Amino acid sequence: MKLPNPLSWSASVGALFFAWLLQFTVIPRWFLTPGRPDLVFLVIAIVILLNRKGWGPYLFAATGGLMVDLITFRFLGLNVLLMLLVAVVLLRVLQAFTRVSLALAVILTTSCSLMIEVVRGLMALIGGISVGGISGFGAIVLTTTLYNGVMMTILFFIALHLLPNKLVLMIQK
Amino acid sequence: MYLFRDRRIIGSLLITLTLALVMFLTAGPERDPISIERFWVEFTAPVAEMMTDVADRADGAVAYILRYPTLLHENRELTRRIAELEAAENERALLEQENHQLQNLLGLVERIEVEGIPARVIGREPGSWNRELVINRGRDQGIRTDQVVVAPGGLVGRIRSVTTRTAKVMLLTSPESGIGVQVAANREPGVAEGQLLEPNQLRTTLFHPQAVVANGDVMVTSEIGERFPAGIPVGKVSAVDTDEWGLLKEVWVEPLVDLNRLSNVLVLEVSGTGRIQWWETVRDFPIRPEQEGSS
Repeated sequence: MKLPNPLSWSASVGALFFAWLLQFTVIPRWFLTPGRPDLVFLVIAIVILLNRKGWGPYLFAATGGLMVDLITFRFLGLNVLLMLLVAVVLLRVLQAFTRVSLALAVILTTSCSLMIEVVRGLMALIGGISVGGISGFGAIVLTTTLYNGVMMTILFFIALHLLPNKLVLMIQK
Repeated sequence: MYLFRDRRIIGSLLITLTLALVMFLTAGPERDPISIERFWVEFTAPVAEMMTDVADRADGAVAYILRYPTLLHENRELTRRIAELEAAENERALLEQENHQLQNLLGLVERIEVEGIPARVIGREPGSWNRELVINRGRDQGIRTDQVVVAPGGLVGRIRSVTTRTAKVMLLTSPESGIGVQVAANREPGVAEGQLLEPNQLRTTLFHPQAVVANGDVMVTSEIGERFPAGIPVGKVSAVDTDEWGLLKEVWVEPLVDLNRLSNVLVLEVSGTGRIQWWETVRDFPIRPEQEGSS
């Protein structure tokens, strides 16, 4: 079993915590539409796309999911499960590819985003939250997915082309 | 190899079942946070507060730059409006005095006492499926579940859960929220509900189809329902409609408080019964409670 490198793990968890902090404080203020981007999910997806080795991606995905779960005070474990599912799906699909292009990253992330938002919406319905019928449900799921697709395009482009190579290599260790 | 694969499948199943069990046990919306949730929210509260402060300042700077050209005009308009309101306030004080005297004569005196605990908003629901706030005051500062939360403009929501030093507020625009309201001008009663798709609107159903209500009318909390004391401003009517069977009147109400930009709130401790004297309650509302060292 290959455990994650401590330095790369700390850098990735630091980025994850910062994304969580933005998601908890700033994103809900600045995105007043029914859906909003999910930065925690995006950071998890980027790290998995850059680092596909060993147990690190699963552990990282579970950590991110737990961070979100611990602040929602409802269905503890839902986001852990969803992020683990994202890790499984991404790692399975990536087995067929030697390198990850921007287009592949965006397609995979958008599909996963659609999947997790549908599940979150269904759980909200089970929890007794009125989502405004099928149209409301669809609007929230699609807006969130669209935001995530656009943000992924920007963030993954930055990760591939603008981040110093040393930092990317550190994440990939 | 096959054994390894089997182990992985068994491990995945065990993890899934464990998480499903935890989800089932923690599903209730009105439950108290468990210890790990309490620890996390309190551990991250100082950093979240700092981040919120930075966001507040950024918002303020952007708003200042964007609104600078209109500030002079707005200042003149506000000066004129203050003079009008001072005159109206004098008239209201006289009427209130007269009202008290008449109630005393009829033996209808109601006693309501309101105290406020100032708090700062440090975070918000991260997902798209609910509307909640986290504030930096908790059980240690006297906050309890179901207490009413207001801002100078009017109602914000109610306390949903409490930890030692933080509390979660369910916003009035949350899809789980339903509030007994009435038209301030004629006391027509109804129920205002939050909408997930329209975060800045409350769908309000008035019980009487012939209720007289118009755009711009102010809605306040009503005596119906036990969660909120009567008389707290909720919002302004932005559209009026009748439901498809013509039995009820549907009104869209825009909250008086900008819940998306809210930084400071007041958690009310209400005892007794009666209508809240709104202006008296929020007159001394501090702009930045954390700077006054309140805890």
